[in-house]
Amino acid sequence: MADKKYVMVIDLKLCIGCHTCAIACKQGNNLPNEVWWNRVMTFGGPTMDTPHGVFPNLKMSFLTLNCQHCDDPPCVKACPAEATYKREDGLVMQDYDTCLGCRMCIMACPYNDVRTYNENHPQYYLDFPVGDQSAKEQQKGTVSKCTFCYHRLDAGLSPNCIEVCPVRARSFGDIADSDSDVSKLLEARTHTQLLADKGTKPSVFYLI
Amino acid sequence: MFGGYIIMIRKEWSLIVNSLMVQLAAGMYTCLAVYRVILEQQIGREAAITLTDPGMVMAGPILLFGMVASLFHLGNPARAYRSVTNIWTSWLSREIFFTGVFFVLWFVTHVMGINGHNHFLMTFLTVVAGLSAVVSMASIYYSTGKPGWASQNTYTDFLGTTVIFGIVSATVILYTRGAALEYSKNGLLIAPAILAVFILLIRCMEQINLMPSLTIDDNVLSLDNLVSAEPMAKKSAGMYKSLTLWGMTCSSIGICLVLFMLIAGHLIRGGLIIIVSALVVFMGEFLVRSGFYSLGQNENK
Repeated sequence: MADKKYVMVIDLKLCIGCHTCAIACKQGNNLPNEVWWNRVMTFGGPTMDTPHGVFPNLKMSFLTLNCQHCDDPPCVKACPAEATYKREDGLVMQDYDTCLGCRMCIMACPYNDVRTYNENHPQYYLDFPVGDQSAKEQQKGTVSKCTFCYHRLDAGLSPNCIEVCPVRARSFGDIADSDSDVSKLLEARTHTQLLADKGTKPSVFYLI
Repeated sequence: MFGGYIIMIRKEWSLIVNSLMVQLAAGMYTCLAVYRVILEQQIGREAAITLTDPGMVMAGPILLFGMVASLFHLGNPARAYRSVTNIWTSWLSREIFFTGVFFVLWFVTHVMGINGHNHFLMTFLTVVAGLSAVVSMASIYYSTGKPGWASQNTYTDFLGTTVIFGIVSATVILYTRGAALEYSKNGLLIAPAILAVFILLIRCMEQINLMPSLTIDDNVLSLDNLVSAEPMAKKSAGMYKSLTLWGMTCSSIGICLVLFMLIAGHLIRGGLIIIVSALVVFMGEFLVRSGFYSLGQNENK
């Protein structure tokens, strides 16, 4: 595990904004009502599927946003209880069993809305969670966020959002391996990272 | 606006109360410790201790109240003991550590004082721990990089409130000991009150510099603007500006009234006014701090 460095690559030219990744994430991780770890945004505004530009020259552009699993994560430094920590393979994790619910990680994170504070007991539309049983159960009074589906990675699988993308806009893999898909994509295509000027070295790359 | 303020207070009251109480305790203890050293030269050691001790003792319960209030901010208060485990990188851990040390040193110093052992070194260490807690508290917000928080204004505000609280509360304490009139005459209380006015002026000037930077430019279309937490903080700028303005006005009125009463020498007759002035200052600082925390409310879901 120590030699690996997981990254996610998202092709903005391919993304059609179908929200399948967001739904797969929500169900696979047993996320409670109103909790989304992976969101699909449009450039035009905060409401769903808003085009940008001036009529009639409108354009729909999508951007999916989840925890960026930064290489130099400010949330890990800010957490007073070491509940937010970084694995050797680059995953930034949240330990619900030690989280105080102080929300310092939310304050320290430069990205908006990639974390959720579960103020109340997790509620589900059904009486029980229906997703992957190996996903860790959400707890009241703790902060949760994208884990790159670590439970699936540890079982040799890809994250939920990668598996379901109908246009293969999302890729995931080990950037330390030069033969991996992500390494080849990043070598071949122009890419960017969100808020790179913050110096947090995100592990999510966007092909533009 | 008012409805938004109530919602914000409901969410952030524990942090507002905690920060103000820690700063009141640190300011009051520090200011009275300085007064004690000065008064020892003028009226002797025992008399100086008699005058300043009640306020320095009061700092402990005030601090404890602030510490208890902070527990209500946590989703899992039962795990609060874990909050000092990341002292090497987390400013919150450091703040909690120094606040704890401040309380322990206050307690030990107080017990030693009861037994007649008043040591300058212990008092000095207690002051250092209290001020370190305030600096750590300011650093928590400064290090977030958020608009309005990641500026020098955060340190000026937190340390400024500490000094202002210290000066105003020490004046009230000396008044209740019946000694304020005498010391206002020799300038012991007037000079700090002038310092409090000066600090408030600096804070006002910093706010004038800071507020324009909180304006949102909705027309800039970029990936970074779409995902950054900064525009969310800026959405509370209206509430921030209004609360800060009202708060600074209240604090200015309160401090100027204290200074006026000291200079006019009507302290004994105007005792009630001094207490009311101190309450106006406290209300002003509460409003300013509410404004400060309103910048983070969109993120603390």
